Amino acid sequence: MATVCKNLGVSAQAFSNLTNGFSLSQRFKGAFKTALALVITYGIALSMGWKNPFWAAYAVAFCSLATAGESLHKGLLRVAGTFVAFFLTLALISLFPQDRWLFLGSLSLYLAFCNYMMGGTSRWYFWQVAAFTVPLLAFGAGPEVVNAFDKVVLRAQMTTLGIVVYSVVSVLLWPTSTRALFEGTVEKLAAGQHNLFRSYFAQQGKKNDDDDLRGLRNQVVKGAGALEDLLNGAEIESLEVWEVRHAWRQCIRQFGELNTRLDRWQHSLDKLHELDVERMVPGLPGYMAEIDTRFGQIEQMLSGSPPTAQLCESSLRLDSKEGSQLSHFHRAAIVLAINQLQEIGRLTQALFNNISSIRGFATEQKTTSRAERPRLSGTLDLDRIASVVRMLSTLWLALLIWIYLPDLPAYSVLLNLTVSISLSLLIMPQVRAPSLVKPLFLSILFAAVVHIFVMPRLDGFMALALLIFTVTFALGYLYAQPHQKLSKIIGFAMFFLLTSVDTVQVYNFTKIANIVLAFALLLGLIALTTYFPISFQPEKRFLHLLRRFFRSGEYLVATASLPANPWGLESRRRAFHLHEVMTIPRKLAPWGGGLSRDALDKTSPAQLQSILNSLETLGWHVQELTAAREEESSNAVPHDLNNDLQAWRTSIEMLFARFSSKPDAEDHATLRKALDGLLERIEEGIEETLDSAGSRNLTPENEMNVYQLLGAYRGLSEALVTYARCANYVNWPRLAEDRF
Amino acid sequence: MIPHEIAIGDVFLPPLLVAAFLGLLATIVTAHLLNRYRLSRYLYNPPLAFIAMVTIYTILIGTFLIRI
Repeated sequence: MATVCKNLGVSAQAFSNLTNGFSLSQRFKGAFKTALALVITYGIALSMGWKNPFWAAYAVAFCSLATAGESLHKGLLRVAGTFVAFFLTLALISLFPQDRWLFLGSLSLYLAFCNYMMGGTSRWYFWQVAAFTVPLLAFGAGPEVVNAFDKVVLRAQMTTLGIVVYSVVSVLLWPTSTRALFEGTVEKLAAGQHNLFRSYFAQQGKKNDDDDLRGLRNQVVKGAGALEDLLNGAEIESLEVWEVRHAWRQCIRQFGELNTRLDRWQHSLDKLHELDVERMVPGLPGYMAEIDTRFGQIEQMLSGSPPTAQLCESSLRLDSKEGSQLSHFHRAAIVLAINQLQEIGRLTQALFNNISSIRGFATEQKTTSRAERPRLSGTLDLDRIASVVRMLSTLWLALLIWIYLPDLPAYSVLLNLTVSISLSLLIMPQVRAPSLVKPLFLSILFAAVVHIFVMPRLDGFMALALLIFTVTFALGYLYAQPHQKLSKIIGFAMFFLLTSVDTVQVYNFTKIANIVLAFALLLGLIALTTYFPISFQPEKRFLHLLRRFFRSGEYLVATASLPANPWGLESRRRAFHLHEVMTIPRKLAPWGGGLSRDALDKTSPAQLQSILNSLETLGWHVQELTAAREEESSNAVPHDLNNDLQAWRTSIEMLFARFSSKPDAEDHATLRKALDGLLERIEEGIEETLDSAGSRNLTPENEMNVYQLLGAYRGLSEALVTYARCANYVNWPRLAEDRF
Repeated sequence: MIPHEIAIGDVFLPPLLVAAFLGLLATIVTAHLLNRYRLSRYLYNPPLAFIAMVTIYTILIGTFLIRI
């Protein structure tokens, strides 16, 4: 640059100012690459005389993402889904050539399977493409079955063309590395978790709803959520990432678990702010310093530098002399906090080992074996099943309209749109039909004007290319934000569908009118299946999920002991209810966001969020209690104490049962008073029981188990009191009212 | 009166389509007002009531406004 400046006779600063003024935004570059790829795709398809070039355009438009790796990954998923659909289409047509009901039944089963699988993986796009491509090809073949083979080959050809063209453009023109983005996100996440750890320790349980802390926590949660998709792109783009992809996946799981453990540790510190914890737990400052060092070393390795400190393993124990001066509940709270901290220690150690192995700093290279990767969860997800039922209802309504109203125009458009949009509703079930009206009809109107008034005047490919480039660049530039993604997709889809650029170009107003009719029917079907057979109204889903949460909590609290057979029905039921309790608070958040102002009455979004937070905490405590009782079954608890705990468990079970039928069944003040009274009685009972148990040689292990159980019961009870307080923010009868 | 198609330029629309569209609009407005004044809570099944109102409005509009 110095030579350039000298030759030009300008200063370095002036040169830098000049070139910065010409730098293009990511938004511009993204839109330019998409538009260029589309023009090239159309050019190749038309010059080769291939039909349906808009199929290739769809592949470009839907697979163009921010970075090259992500686009490649999505493109590969699309190609893989298309090839699976290829074989399924031909198989179904071959198996049921003359039997429409068997054909439709088998197709429905296949679509239901693909739709269910969409919900359980970050690679959901593969299942979506594998699903909607089958009816597109099968129905598009028409009555002449011999056309089916040509159709599927053409679809595979066009999809591959689109993916290849966009991949080449994105790799050669302003390439953006997914690997750099992925590693940057990991570094930020590690730094964020380190800051959170320090902040929580500095607070020492003092209630401080600091905005900065909440912001940091949200940033960390968001970062952890984005890692899976970024890794999917980075492993395609970079061989180095591909070689250590299993280790990275393990890191992502560990980061996610660390987020949860940090939150639980912060909650466990709530009951300790009046205690001198460092005196009670002598090794605490050293242990905290060790974890701080580990976080620092992890950040150092992520930035590319080798670790400079050796890790040392240590453990924490409650000092027996200091602990004897505390109440049993305080001892239990300290035991719980120590457990959480030791889990954080274990996770930071594992992360350190993993990242040093990934970066090549480890002395012994450890390959992640298959056993370490988690197996697929076998638990049924009721919400995914509900979405599948909705998809099948929409599909069969469309099929019945097609069969019994044979003169309906554009039935193939209706069927294909019904399948692809109803499949997408699993990913975004909160979308209501009215919200799709404006973007759909505006884009249809625009595309119709282009098709009828502009395209007939174009002369030659250059004019067409200019039109395609201008429109698609504008769409990509104006709708570049993540929250505008749906509008962008609709805009692209309508433009390609209605302009129908083909080797033999025809202009037909009837086609546009028929497509408008098909969309109107489709929106009607989606509106109908929002209410029947399963209601997807936000108010109904919110209350339904809340009921399920408390019923599952009731079951988990009530089940007395661990089932002997891990594969038996009881175990599967237990795993199902545990899955419900852990996942429902996260599912409630988007439905909470969709509640109407009228339903919420005077409840603010912050108050609603506090209810969701209290439910998440309840979920953790139920899981903790379940884990503590699994230990209980293997370690003997004194009989008298067991009776007290059983009575406590029964009262918690009754609370869950009451909350499942009425979310504000208990008054917060009454519960608080009842809990305080109960804690006093149990404290007295424990003194007598453990004193007499001491004379019968209660082992330290048993004692720890007792404190763990006590802590778990108390934590769950406190969480129920917090929930009861937050539940008062909502006018539940108003929320439950029937409305349109 | 003989039923006739409704012409917008050279585009012919069946009268039932127009009546159904207007019936839908009227129902949406009615549903919005019922929600606004919390009268919808007295309906046993508001979505079914919605379908019923669309049908009623379509028939009324088709009988008195647009001859279908």
